[in-house]
Amino acid sequence: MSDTVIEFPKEPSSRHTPVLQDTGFRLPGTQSGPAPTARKRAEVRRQSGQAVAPIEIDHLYPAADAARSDVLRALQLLADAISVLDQGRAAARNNDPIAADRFVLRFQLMLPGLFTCRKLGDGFAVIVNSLHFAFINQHGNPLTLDQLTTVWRIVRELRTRPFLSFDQALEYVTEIESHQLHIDPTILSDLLADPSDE
Amino acid sequence: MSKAYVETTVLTNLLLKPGSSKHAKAQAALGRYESSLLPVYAIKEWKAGPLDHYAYVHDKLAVTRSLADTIGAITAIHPLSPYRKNTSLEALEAAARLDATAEPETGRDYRSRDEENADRYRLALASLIVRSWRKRRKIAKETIQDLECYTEAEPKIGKDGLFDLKPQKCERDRECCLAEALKAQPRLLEALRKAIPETSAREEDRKRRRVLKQLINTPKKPLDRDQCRALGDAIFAFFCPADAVVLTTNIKDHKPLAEAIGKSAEAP
Repeated sequence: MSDTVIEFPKEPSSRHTPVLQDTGFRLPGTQSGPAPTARKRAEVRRQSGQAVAPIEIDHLYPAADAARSDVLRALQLLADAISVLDQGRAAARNNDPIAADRFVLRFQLMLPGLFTCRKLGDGFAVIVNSLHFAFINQHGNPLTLDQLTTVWRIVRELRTRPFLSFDQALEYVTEIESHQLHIDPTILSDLLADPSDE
Repeated sequence: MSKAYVETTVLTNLLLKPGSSKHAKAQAALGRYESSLLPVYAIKEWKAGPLDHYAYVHDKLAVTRSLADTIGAITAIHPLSPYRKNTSLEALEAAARLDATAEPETGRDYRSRDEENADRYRLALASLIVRSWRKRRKIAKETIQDLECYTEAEPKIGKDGLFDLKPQKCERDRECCLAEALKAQPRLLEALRKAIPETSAREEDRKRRRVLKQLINTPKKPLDRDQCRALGDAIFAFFCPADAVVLTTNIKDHKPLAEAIGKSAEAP
């Protein structure tokens, strides 16, 4: 990893007390160079004054030859998934439901691979898992364009925030559910006895 | 009758059994009434009972990291356990065990696939537990009869990966907030007590009769949180508004209690 300093857009006022900008934290497996040293905001401002465009996730976690972590694998799989869902949406918009569903099927087949990257965190895992059960509960029925767009958008957001917390992930899960995708394994309802079963 | 007074079993079917016929039935039942009322007492019972059972299965999966072992364990706990050894669970357990004998061609061994399945259901349960909690006050048109001595706190997953559902009981150092209303109607308490068969061998019936007797005969004695919990089904009959029916899947227990005080209970 290059020793690039991540610069955030400049604040309008420079009267604030300088605070630390970088914690020096690096994810295991992503550091090939020395850990960055903490730099004060004022020092960073002196070097670069203009606002900077958002950093792409691939630049934050560039693929190094030696690093074959779950992070890199997940990012690659998510990129593939987004591409497939993009094509699915394009086909659906062109009134070609069979082509759209073919792309969705390809996405569905990527989910087990994504689930193997679940060590990224329970936030990542619960989204992938919810999509997995949503497809099971669809029983082969194709997604509507609205559902497809929701899945596409959430997968895109997951790629920009793969380390989101479980709690944050539940917001996305609730959103998937609100689009009539049933994300809970039906077997869970059989876990408990009910007085009416007696 | 235009209002449904939602009891714990229906709340459970609505919140914890998504995609099942019971969920659909409960949902349809709510639509039959002009309005639906959910007492906080049902939320309290639901959290301490069904939600707690789901959290236990979640925790078992988190610790054993094996779906096969978890299903085997929960269905073998006790003959009176709330967990059913039903055909679906048996099938799931059998499928999980079968993996042990059929060596996969994929290169992944049984243990890793069993662990993956455990993770799938652990995450699904964690998601359902938290989401169902957040939905609890949205399933009925109105949530009523807040309990001053009970704090509704969202279930949390601790650093150890296990669920913390505290508090599941009311505050210890005060009398139950329902006590005054109960004690003001001794005739209703008497009728409820008579509706419980004196000869019943069920522990919950014996406890309920005992607490009702205390409320009738020694009203000055404080009603504690365990006694409040023991009253259970009788609370629903007692506090169900006059223009509502107790909506429950446990019609066998609720119907005699409701009818004893001029109210009614219906199944979804």
